[in-house]
This record gives sequence, structure tokens and C-alpha cells, in this order.
Amino acid sequence: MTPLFHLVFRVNMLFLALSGIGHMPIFKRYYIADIPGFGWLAEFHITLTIHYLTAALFLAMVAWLATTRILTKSEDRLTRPARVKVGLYIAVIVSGGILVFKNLKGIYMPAATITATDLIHLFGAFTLGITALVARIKGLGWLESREQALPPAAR
Amino acid sequence: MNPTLSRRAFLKGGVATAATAVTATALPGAAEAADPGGYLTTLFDLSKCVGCGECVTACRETHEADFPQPEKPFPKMIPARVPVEDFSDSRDDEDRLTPYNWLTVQETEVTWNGEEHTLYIPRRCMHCINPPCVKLCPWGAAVQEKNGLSRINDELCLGGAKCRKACPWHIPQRQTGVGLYLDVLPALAGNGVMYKCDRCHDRLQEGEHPACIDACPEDVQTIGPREEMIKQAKALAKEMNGYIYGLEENGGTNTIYVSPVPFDVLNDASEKGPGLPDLAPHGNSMAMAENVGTAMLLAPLAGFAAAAGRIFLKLKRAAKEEETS
Repeated sequence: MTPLFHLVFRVNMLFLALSGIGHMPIFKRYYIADIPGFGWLAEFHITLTIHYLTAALFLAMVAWLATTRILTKSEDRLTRPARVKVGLYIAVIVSGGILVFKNLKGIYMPAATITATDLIHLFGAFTLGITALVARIKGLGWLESREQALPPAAR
Repeated sequence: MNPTLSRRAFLKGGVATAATAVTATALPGAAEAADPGGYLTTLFDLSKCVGCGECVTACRETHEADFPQPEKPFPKMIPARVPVEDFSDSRDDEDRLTPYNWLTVQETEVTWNGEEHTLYIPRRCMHCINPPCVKLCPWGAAVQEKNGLSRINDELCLGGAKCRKACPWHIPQRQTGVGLYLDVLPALAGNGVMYKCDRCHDRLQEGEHPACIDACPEDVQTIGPREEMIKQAKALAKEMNGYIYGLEENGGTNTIYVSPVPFDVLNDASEKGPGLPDLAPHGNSMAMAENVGTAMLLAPLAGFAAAAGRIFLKLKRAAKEEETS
């Protein structure tokens, strides 16, 4: 991952998360939308558009990373928090895909499915954020060498 | 690092991509494609409405049990700017849409083609084909049924009023002091429940018509599949040399009005404000979600193709270098 890729990925994630939280009517209530430059967070059609566009870029970048990882022989393996994050990413991506599908014209989806998907998407993203934060504080990155992954006695 | 590629690894990548795509399409198994042409639609012939208000009375009587019963005083909400919206002391108000009045009749006096017209326009939820109130609700509290009608689940709604802001006509109305938010964090999140016309969904389930249709002494409304109602609307408009509203508004609605006077003239003349929807030509507020949503499927494919292409080129270059050395 080049530094530029890393930077674009992180900035995109910031706007993806902000526009996602903006789907809930809280930014206006808590004065955040009153801060100059943050007014868009209270405009639901704008947050929806930004969420869709940043999600598209996010999906393209994740597909790029996953394809590179799968097609490239690597001695490194995913760390434990990275495996948790991958699982959460899959939950967020799949639930997000279902919600995008629901928003198309002429789609009927039972109310319980919509609510369950909304909650998986919300809490999946929330847990992902916390996991990423904890991993960062502990200094645990995405990859470790196979040797590092072995218990000390086996090295 | 020069990547190495094996057929097995390539297949693994392809299979993983295919599996992800299949899972993403198969998971919403409960979802069904519906035909908007068959959505249940009501057609209003405004030339017939005399403004008697029988439809309003019938609506109120039918939904009396659905109306909010708030307990006062309301819990204090933080911050103080959060507005209390309380209609419980004006339950009899029929002059606008409220949580206790899901249908109102707007009286409009206009001069058109040298003639004076007084038109009465029954207004309630338009039941959009792709309703933004339903699609943008963050909890799935607003739902669209198979027959196209949209309604709000008062047991799940937290009263954030996003649906009202997302609705081009700002139809749903909030009552503070009722609903789920009282049991969660009443001070910090939520603010009651949103209410609007549910097209008498329970009467429809029983095979009956919505109460407003049955109560109308002038047969102002007709109900049927959207395509059929559009045909009737066009024939009626041709017959009275009139105008149609609802075919394209917000991407098309399951409520269609036919009037002898153009709707921009009616819109200019009608009273507007909270609980009083306009008759402006609204564009499709869900257009972005409909267009970009389909295109979004291509995003992961683009990422996959770019990465696979990059690796392929690197391998080709490495093979060439090996050959020359």
C-alpha cells in the first residue's frame, strides 16, 4: 500500500463514516451542523450522495487490496485484530449492499429485514471503529510474519 | 517485491470474488422485485370535489385508535433547542395535517382562462413509488408494502422527523411525548412519533377501500393499479381539457390528481406552510440512489480489474526481463 493509497483510503473512510452517521438526525440537534463547513451533515440527500460515492471508492479500494493479497504470495498473515476487522468489514459491506438494493425503485423488502440490516450496518461500523482504535492504540497492524504469529516456544 | 502468480491463486481470487457477489445478491432473499405499474393508486377528479369534508371525518373516525395519547409533562430534552411538537390540545384542527388529522382539504380560488374557479384539493400522503420517507428512515420504522403504500410503524419510530425533511411535501407530522424514545434515552435521542396517512392498510387487508374513498358522496376518488389509473387520468384530463399531477412528481406517486386548472396556478394560489403541502413540480429525490445504486456494483469490479491488471503487467515485465537476461 503506497502512502498516497493509504492517505486516500483514510480520508475517504472519514467522509464515509461522517456521512453514515449523518443518516441519523443528530448533527443538527447537537449543533455540529451549525459549525461553518459542517452544514451539509444535516442535509440528508447530500449525506446520502456522499455516502454512496465514498462507499463506491471504498469498495473499489478494498477489492484492489483483496485481489492483490489473494493473487500475491505472501509470507505475512493477518493479525488477530485484522481478522476481526475483516469480518466486520464483510458485515458492513454486505448489509450496505442490501440497503443500496432496498433503495432502488420497485423493491419490496419486509420491515424486519430492513430494521435488522440497518442495525447490522450501524453497529457493525461502530464496532469496526472501536476495533480499529484499540488495534491502533495497541500498535497492532494488519500483517505479521508467520514466525511472529507462532507461540514463543515454537519459534 | 515482484508478485508471483499461480493458476491456483488466480482461481482462488476469481472464486472469492464470485462468492462475494453471489452472497451479496442472495442475502436479501426476503426482498422481491415489485411492479410499480401495479401499485395501488388513487385518482382524484378535482372537478368533482365540493369540499364537504366527509373524507376528513371518515379518516379521523377510522384512525381514532391510531392517534397519539401523550402523557404530560413531556420529558425534558437536551439540548434546549429540540422543539416540542404538541398537537394534543388541538386535536380537532382539520385545517392542516397533524398527527390527529391525516387528511386535509385545501380550498383554492383561482381565475383561469377568464373564469373563476373554486377548487377543493384533498391532501394527504402521496404514497410515492420510491418513497424517500421509507428509504431514508435510519431504523426501518417507515415501510413500503407490496402494494406500494407507505406507512410508519408507530412502535418503532423515534420521531427524528427525517422523513418529513426527506418528503418533498413534508407530509409526516410529529407528536412529542409518545413512542419508543421514552423507553430509550428520552432526554438525548428521539422526540416522539411521526404520523401520516397509511392508506387504511388494515382496511385494504380486509378487502375494503380506504375510508376516505368509501365516505365520499361525490365519487371524487377512484382506486386501482397505477397503470390503469394513469390511463383513466389521461382520458379524464383529455375530456375536461385538464392537467395531471403525480405522474412524474418525485419520480411518480401512487396518488394522481386531475384538475381543470394547471397545477402551477393552483400552487401559486394555495395556502402553504407547516402541514399544508404544495403542488410544485418536484423532481425525483431518489434519483441519485436509483442511478448510482446500480452503478455501485461496478466499483468492486473496477478495483478487482485494476489490481489483477497491475499484477499481470508486473508478471509480464518480469518474464520479459528474465528472457532478455
